[in-house]
This record gives sequence, structure tokens and C-alpha cells, in this order.
Amino acid sequence: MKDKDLIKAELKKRQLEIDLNKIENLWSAYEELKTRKLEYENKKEKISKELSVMIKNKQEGNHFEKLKIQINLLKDNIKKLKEPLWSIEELAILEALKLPNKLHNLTPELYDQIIFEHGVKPNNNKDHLKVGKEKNLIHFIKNENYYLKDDAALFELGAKFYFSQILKNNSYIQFSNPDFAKSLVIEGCGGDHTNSDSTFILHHNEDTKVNADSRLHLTGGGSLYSFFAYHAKNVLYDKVFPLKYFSMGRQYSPSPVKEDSLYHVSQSSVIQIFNATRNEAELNDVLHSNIDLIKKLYTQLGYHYRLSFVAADRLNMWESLRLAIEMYSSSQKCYVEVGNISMSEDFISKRLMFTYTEDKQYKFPFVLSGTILNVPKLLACILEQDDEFVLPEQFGIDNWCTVSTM
Amino acid sequence: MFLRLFFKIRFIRKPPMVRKFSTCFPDIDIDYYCDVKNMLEIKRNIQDRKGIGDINKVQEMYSLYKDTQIGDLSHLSIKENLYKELAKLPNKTHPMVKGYTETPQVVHEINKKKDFGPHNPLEFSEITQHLNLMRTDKLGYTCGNKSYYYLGELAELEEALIKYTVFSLLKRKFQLVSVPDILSSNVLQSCGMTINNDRTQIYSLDPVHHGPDLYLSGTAEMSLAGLLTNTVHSEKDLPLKLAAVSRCYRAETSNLVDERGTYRVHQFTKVEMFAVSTPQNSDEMLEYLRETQEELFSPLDFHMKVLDMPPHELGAPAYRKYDIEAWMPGRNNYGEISSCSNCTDYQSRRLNIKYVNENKLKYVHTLNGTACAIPRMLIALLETHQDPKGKINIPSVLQPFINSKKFIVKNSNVPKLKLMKLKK
Repeated sequence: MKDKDLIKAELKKRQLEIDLNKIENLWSAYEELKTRKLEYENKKEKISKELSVMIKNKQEGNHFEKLKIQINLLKDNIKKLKEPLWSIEELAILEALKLPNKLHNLTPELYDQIIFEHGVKPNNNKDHLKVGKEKNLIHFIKNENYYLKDDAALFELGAKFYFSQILKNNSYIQFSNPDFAKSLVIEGCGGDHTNSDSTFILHHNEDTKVNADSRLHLTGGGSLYSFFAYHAKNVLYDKVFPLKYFSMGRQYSPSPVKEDSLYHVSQSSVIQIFNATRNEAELNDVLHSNIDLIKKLYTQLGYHYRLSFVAADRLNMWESLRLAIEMYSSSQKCYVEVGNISMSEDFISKRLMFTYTEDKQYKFPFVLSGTILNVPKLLACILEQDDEFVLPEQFGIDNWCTVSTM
Repeated sequence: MFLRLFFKIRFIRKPPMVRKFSTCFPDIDIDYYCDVKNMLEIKRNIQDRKGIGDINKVQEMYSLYKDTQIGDLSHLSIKENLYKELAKLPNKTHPMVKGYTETPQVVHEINKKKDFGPHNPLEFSEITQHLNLMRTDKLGYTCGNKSYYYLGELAELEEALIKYTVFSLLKRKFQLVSVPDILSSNVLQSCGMTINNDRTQIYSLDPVHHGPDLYLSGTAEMSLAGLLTNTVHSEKDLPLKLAAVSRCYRAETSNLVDERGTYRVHQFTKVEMFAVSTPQNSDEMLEYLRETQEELFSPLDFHMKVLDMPPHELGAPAYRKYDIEAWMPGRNNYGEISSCSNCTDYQSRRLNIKYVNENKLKYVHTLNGTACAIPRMLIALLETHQDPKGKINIPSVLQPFINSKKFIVKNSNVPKLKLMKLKK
């Protein structure tokens, strides 16, 4: 709360309505109770020391009795404080957890800032679902239920393998992650674990009582959650950084809108990257090397795309910066985010106790992560290009193996 | 194979919506099942398969049904009860399989067991521990029990297996399909299939939050069957050969010592084959699927045996089923790595999948088989190809799919984690 003005200014940039005074009041009330409890405890300790000396020396009398009464009173007071302290602690911390991450200095204030562009945007009225149906590539029932066929199904696998190969060539380490995450991971990553619009909550089919804070969520092995589920509450040595991991898997999230479209499906095949460094300076280096890598990945495909830093008001609360990989959608008549990378810095690390030791001290790693490939969105945009759809050469099965004679 | 679970319980509880429409009754072969002449055969089949279903009850209901006028108020409910009983009956059994008793028939064995000499082969969990290739410990609090992460080259080997399998299936002219892992009951119920909410084998999404009809697929066989529901195929397009790579979710747990580690897990990636054929070609198609499996697995160089499963191992839908069991030296046991089944018209009658033959609509036969189920395939591979010097040899057929790497060595790229001790 020291930099209240700075926090206020950043909240304004993010267009978030958070009552700082409320947090401040709760927090100071919490601090006050905590101080009072500490005072009582110190006094209690002092008196109990005095008492033990007196008992040793077999001193009794008025003063001894007085001290005994005092210590009992103090014990009583401490006990009485316990519950109010707990409840205000919970309120204050829950309220403080709503505060967003601080903003990165590259995050623009009002409008997205385009930093790179490749090719020219398509000029037509194609709709990927129509094209997909005509070419018998997509069997679309609804956002929660769709099939990709033939070249579209090959596209899904081929795109993943292409990205996977180039990441490995760039010293990324491959992971294969589980699809479920517990509520605490969702909450730690800045999500609302009770909100069924943000994650799929699994039916509790055990005999135990349902606890809203300890559910299983279907998030997918290609989600950020799965990487933080791996690192939560764990310690690493400082020498191991930077970490460069990626996973190839699904991402599941409830469809945000009713409109049928591959842009809004609830199941996506993706590539998720996860980088961790010791500090902000190292993370900035990682950001720039990742931007170079993304340019390499997407430019080779030959389609029009652009990279932009997203304006503060469109960021998620855990993000300090987001780079959007955008392609133009002819059906939506706007740019669509087909991929991204985000900085969460040490924001989530702190909440989920992802730590490292340096000079015998616990510190929190700085994290950059992102879905650098989202197959259904990329496929939709490519189906809406001016040229007829053909499977990108890089995704073809001849590129799946190193020996072409196979 | 997983489907048998669903078919077994279909019609046990029907939603009121479906109840109204008599068109949702599966077109079960009444001429066969309700003919008194066949009663003895049907009864013996149920017995041999240790299946459920009561042919006497079916007969009783059938005569009651025949004697009730269509206009009668009770007509629909009688018909419903009749079909409820009919649906429980298992598929017919292949004549050759009928003779098998308790144990499976070994069709043949493939590859020799590897000789480890004086060395004691390690278990998958020990190998992955030594080489730092997997994490399974202390994940209950963050991603649920029995979760696992494959790290580094083990994750690469998973990718290589998928590439190799799909690559080989595409060469055999299978059509690749990408399927949904979350299935609405609409897909399953489109022809009356129901899922029982209380079955713990199936994961479902919270009905309060997401609506009552979303389930996690146990196998791509289900979603592929969903895709084909209510379709008519022309005879010249058959056989139809589909392949899908999907995540599979199974809530079942096991306390068996033999099934510890990642042998039985809640979630995994699988490549599945699904075929649609004419009735006269389905026997041949089953052999084709089995041969395909053998051709896929043999070059991976572990010992395995191909089994023709006895009647009581078939479940309800299969007419004949082959399992392949791989020798897992570390576990010192065989483990099932695949199965393939001919379901004849059991599924197509319930899902309404037909073909045109001489201007008549007839039911197709459906078949399914595992092409690669990752966790057990990795167990067989690592346990067989472990080298006592602390590396794993990669079978040459997989090498082109993993950057020409010849072996997997200790992973020093992913640092070991240490759980934090929190002071309280």
C-alpha cells in the first residue's frame, strides 16, 4: 500500500474498479489486531519468565498472585482475539488478492501497439465454417462439439509437430502434462475457481463432501495451469535458470459466446510455452528472444500476421504485458488473436509459492508463458485466406520424420 | 471396447424426453431374438459370455406386446419394457470362439523375450526415476491423484509414437479425424443411448455449473461412433477406415499391486482405429485390424502374444475380440496394450448406421482397435530397451520420428524439484 498513487494510476489504465480504501482499511484493521495480539504475547512471555524465576526461587505472595491473574487475563485476551483475527485476515487477504499485477513499461495505455507486420491482409468474404463444410473438412455441431476431417485433421497434428520441432531446435524442453488442475492452482493463476464460465469444473463423484475450494478442473495439458501445478510449492536452485519448457496438448475452456465458430470452441489443440528466470532483466531478454522465435515460426508459413502489445485495459489481472499474435479474419472483419505470450513476472509465483534459493534466501522466479499456437483459430484464419486452402507444406507428413524414404 | 460399458447400461435410466419418441428405439433384430426357435441358443450365449439379460423375460414381454393393440394406452410402455430387456442382450458370438473355455487362445507370439543376462530389468517407474524422465509424486494437491508429467525425451518419445502410428495408418489409407473429448449426451442419445450419472468410471462435468449432459470421452471410439450416427453409406465406399488421436479419460481406479504406477491412469493419449464394413466383410476386416496392429507393434521389438478372447471376455457388443499383451520385463508380467473387436451390427443398429445394397438399406458392421495407447506402450518400450549402462535404446523404426536419436539418456535439462517446507 506504500505506492498507493501508482496502484491507483495502474488500476485506471486497466479500467478496473477496485476500492483501494476498502483494502487499505481492512488491511490496517488486520495489522492493528495483529500488533495487539503480538503485544499481548510479548507481555505474556515476559510475565511467564518472571513467574518461572519466582517459582524456582519459591517466592510467593501478592506480587506472585497478581502476576498469575495478569497472565490468565492475557491468555484470555489472546484467545478472544483469535477468531476476529482469523476472519479479518481472510477478508483482508482475499480482498488484496483481487489487486492485479503491476504493468510492464512496454504495455501501452489506450490502444494496442503494433510492433511487427508480415504480408498483406486478405480481402474477401470467406467464412471458415462454410469453406470447411464445402470441402468436407469440418463437421461442426456446436462450439463444444466439432470434428476436423482429412487435411484439417492433418493440419492439427502437423501444426503441433512443426512448432514442437522448431521449439526443440531452439533449446526448449518438451513436457507432456496432465489435463486436470485443482482449484487452488486456478485461483493462484488469477482465475476465479468458482466461476464456471472461466474453467470446466468436474462433477464430484466421490463420497466425500463437496468443497467449492478443492474441485478438479478440466483445463488441459496445454494450459498455463498445468505448468504451475508442476511448480507450485516447490524450490529450485538459482543455477538452473532460465527454464524453457513447452507442452503440446489440449486446452479446454467454456465457450465465451453462442456464435458458432472455430474462434470460440471449447477444445483446442495448442502449444504452450513456459519460461522462468531469476529476475525482471532476464525475463526481458527472454521476451525478446521469444518474439524473434515467433517471427521465425509464423513468417515461414507465409500468411499475413502481426504482433502487438495489448493495451492495459485488455490484460488479464495476472498479466503485466501481453504480446498478441494476430491474423485477419475475413468472416469477423477484424484481427483475431491466434496466439500470445504473456508476462506474469513473479505475480503467480508468489501466490503459488514457486520459489528458488539464492544466497540462502527464498526468492520468486519471473515467468513468461503463452499459447504460441492455437490450432482451431489458426486453421479458421487460414481457411479464410484469399487463396484456396491447401495444407501448409511445413505441416505435411513428409516433414514428420527425418528420413524422407520412410 | 470401452463402449461396452455404455451399451451395458443403456436404457436402464431413460430421460423423459426420449421416452416420448418411439423412433428412438434401437432397431434390435426382433425376428431373431423373439423367435422361440432361437431361445436355447441365446440362453447358452448369455451363459457362456457371463452376460446379463434374460431371454425368458424377453419372450414373456414379446407375447404381451403382440397381444396389445397399438391404440392401447399401455402399448408404448410395454414396448419400452420389451426394448429395455432386449437391449441388455449381448451380441452373438463368433462360432470359433464359442468353443473356447475360460482362457484366451494364443494366436501366436511375436518377437522373443529379451535376455538381460545377469542384470535384473528395472520397472518403468524406477527407470524414469533414475533418468529423471517423469514426475508422479506429490501431485494430488495440484492436479489430482495418479497424475503424471513426462519430461524431456520421454515426452519426445510420446510424440514420436503418435507420429509413427499416424504416419503408418495414413500409408494404409486410414482417414484421419480429430474428435471432441467432451461429448454431450445429445451425441450419445441421438439414438437412445444413455449414460448413468452415478457410474464412477466416467468423468462428467459438474451438472449444476455446465448443464447435465457433458461427459469426458473414455475413447475416441465413442466420438467416432457419434460422428457416424444416422449415416447412410454407399457400398462402394466401404470399408471405411478412420483413425483418431485423442485424450481418453477414465475415472476407474485400481488398488491392485500389479497396476501401480502409470499402468492404469485417469488420462492418456491414444490413437484409435475405427472401421465400417459390409456384414460379409467384417470377419476379414477384423483380421486386417489385427494385422495392422501386429505390423505397428512388431518393429518396436518387444515380446508380445496375440490372444483370441474367450466368450466371457467379450463384453456385450463384441462378436469377436483380439487382445495383444506385451511382455513388460520390469513388471515381470504381460500387460494388455491393445484390443480390437468386431461388433457386427450391435452398434450400427443402435446408432443407425446403414449402407445401400441392391437398393435396400442394410446395417453395416462396425469394428474398432487400439493403434497406440501411450502409457503402456512406453512401459513396454522402456522396460524392454533399457540398457544397464543407464540409457534406453530407441527402436530403429522410431528414430526418424525423434530427430534420429538412437537412445534416451539421463535428463539433465529439467531440474529436480524440492518440496517447500512451510513454517507454521
